Amino acid sequence: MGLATTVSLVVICVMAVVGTIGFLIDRHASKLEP
Amino acid sequence: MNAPHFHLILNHVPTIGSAIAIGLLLLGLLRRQEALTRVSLEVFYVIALITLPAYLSGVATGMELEKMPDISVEAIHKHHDGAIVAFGLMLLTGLSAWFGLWQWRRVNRPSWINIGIVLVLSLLTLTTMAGTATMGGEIRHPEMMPEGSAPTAGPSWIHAASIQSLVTDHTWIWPSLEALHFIGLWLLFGVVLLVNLRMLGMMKSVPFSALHRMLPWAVLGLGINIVSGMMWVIATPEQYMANVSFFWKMGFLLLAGLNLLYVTAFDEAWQVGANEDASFGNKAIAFGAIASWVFVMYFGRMLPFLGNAF
Repeated sequence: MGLATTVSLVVICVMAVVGTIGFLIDRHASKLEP
Repeated sequence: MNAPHFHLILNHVPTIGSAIAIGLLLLGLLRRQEALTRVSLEVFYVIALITLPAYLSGVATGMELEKMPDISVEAIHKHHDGAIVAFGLMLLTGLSAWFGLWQWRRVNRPSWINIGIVLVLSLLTLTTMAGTATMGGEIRHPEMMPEGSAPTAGPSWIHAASIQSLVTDHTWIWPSLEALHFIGLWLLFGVVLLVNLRMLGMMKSVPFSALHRMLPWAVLGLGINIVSGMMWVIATPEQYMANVSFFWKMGFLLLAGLNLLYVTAFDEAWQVGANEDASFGNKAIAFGAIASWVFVMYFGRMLPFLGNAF
């Protein structure tokens, strides 16, 4: 696997994890709305 | 003032600061005083911020000490390994405390689950930090060890040398960290810019509380950047420790970090409703925050030009 492919896959995987955490926090925030 | 002097001033703050914050938290819980509990979360966050220069000045001090005779390089490395674990735990504690403050601000009551997590993490941090501090003391003060006793053992599962070889021996790690550092940066700066522009009077129809909801995205970006940045520092400390640009970048990062606490937890910012103007003081703070983040980016970009990186 080439360098560009490896870097792209790593970045996509990390951002998928971060995006999921952010999405879950935001969903939690919508439950906290007054 | 040089790095060792700076480290001597700061190195007690994470240990003693954590103990004080735990004391405040327990006192708040025992006396059922929510204000005290909230202050303890703010103190945890500030101590986590101060741990950053404490750690970095420690790395620079280690590099200086290694040049001196009669100093155990093994003891320095062991102290560094312990500091990585303790700093990681301190960051997690600070992050959990920040999340608790953000949640508290939104619903005007504490989350007991969050407070439980902060308490457990902070006790773990204090224990690890105290062990790391002892290892640091033993480098120059063997007299502090009881006669015949062995030096304090460092962590066996994490080593700065392993992180160093991971980053430098694999060609894909460095560019991946670069890409993630930039994504983290726009995530962080994008949200921080919106929040502070609202304080300055733009998007007036939007209440501050609506933008406050987006702050966890900024903190996630900050988390990505702290982890990626730390991996670079551990892998190639010589590029950063004598770099004037890195010194200024970290200084402005601390200022910007304090602003993040202000917009998250303080009443003055939260009370700016739709079609309302922030006070002059809030506007000045918002301007300072945007300037601080711009300087963080500027000095980051200038690492190879003003300093000696790369």
